[in-house]
Amino acid sequence: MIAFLMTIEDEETRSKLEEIYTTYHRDMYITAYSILKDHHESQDIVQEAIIRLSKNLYKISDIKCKKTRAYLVIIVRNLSYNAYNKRKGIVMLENEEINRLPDDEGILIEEYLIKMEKSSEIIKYLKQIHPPYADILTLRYYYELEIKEISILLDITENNVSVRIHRALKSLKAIMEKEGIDYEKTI
Amino acid sequence: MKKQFSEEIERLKKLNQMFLYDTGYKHAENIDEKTDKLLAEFKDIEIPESLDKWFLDYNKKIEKKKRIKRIKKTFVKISKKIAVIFIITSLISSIIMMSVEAIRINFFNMIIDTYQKYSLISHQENIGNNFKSKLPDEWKEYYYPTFIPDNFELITAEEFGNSKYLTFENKLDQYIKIIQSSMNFESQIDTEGATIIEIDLNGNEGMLIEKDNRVILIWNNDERIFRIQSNLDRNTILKIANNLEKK
Repeated sequence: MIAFLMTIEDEETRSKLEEIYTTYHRDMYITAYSILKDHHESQDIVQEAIIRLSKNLYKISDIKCKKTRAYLVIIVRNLSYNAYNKRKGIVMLENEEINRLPDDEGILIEEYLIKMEKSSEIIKYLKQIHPPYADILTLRYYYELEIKEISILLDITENNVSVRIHRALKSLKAIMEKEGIDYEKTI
Repeated sequence: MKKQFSEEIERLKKLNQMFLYDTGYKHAENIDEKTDKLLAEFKDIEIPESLDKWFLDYNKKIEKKKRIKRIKKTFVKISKKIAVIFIITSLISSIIMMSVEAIRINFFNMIIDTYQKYSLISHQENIGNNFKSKLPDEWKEYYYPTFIPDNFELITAEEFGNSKYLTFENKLDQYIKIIQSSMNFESQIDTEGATIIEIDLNGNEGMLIEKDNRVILIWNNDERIFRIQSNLDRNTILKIANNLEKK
């Protein structure tokens, strides 16, 4: 009976994590190494990322695509930032006890600013904001993860996730408003 | 006005979500390009073999857990199906056993359906326990009473179909009628306003019906249905019933 049951496994599901690892382990390792400059720590980070990812595997539908690659890099690099900060004794401001904030309410980018945007300009703004903020916005709005899912993946509290999203939106809006004003001045 | 305002906010929220989705998309593209550059920059870095080894071990554990989970899930599913099949099979078997005469359990079912005025008494034969007895000269296989109260005489001994009738009477207009019939016999008894008592006669279920100074005792054994009808008291009737012998 057991032998029979074991033969009816879904091979595709079984090899998903394996395929992700085989395809992206180098990208993950190099990303971690570029931040930490330490082989041991980089290996630990990749392992941690894999463990966290394996609990959230259903979110990945297509393995060999830019979206999945960026997703893994975001996870690895944020875990690396955490490790780096820990090593340097840096305490992120979000680690303070802050009441959870609504991430997509209160801060709304004005319509005229949105309509004005071109792809090249969005990239310009993204480069101006703090990378972890851009990452967290991407996880929330592009990968459409819940606050709890982001918290698990990046090993930060749900409160911190909310705070980061709030600050990222605020920062992006401020940059866009400044650029918008500059843009209007040129007309 | 207020509604219009909230609709406008909702619209702006959706626009923001779309904008942020697009921003995320661009960010992912940026990351992809940046990672390519990083790989080129760190092309000489070798990935430690211990990482691969760790992954293989970890993946094995994960797969084992998944497999066990899947097996449990499948087992539960199959168990449910097996349980349903088992119940259906049991039901079908029971129905078959009840309907096939050859494997019927060795007892008689006396089915008594009480209607408003009459009780319908049905006797069903258990073929498995049917045995043949010695035949009397005139009648084939019959029971006769070894006890009859004093001063009673046999008035008639008649046979109609599969039923035999013995009638005893005395000079006080008291009578005893003993009727014995083969199985699958049905008779109707007036039970309106009667006292009905369930009795046990040598391990056989029976029914004693008393109405208007008349007693009817009806029961069956493995091969016959008996009915004693009399205007004597119930104890005398029971004594006669307990003292029937086969000839």
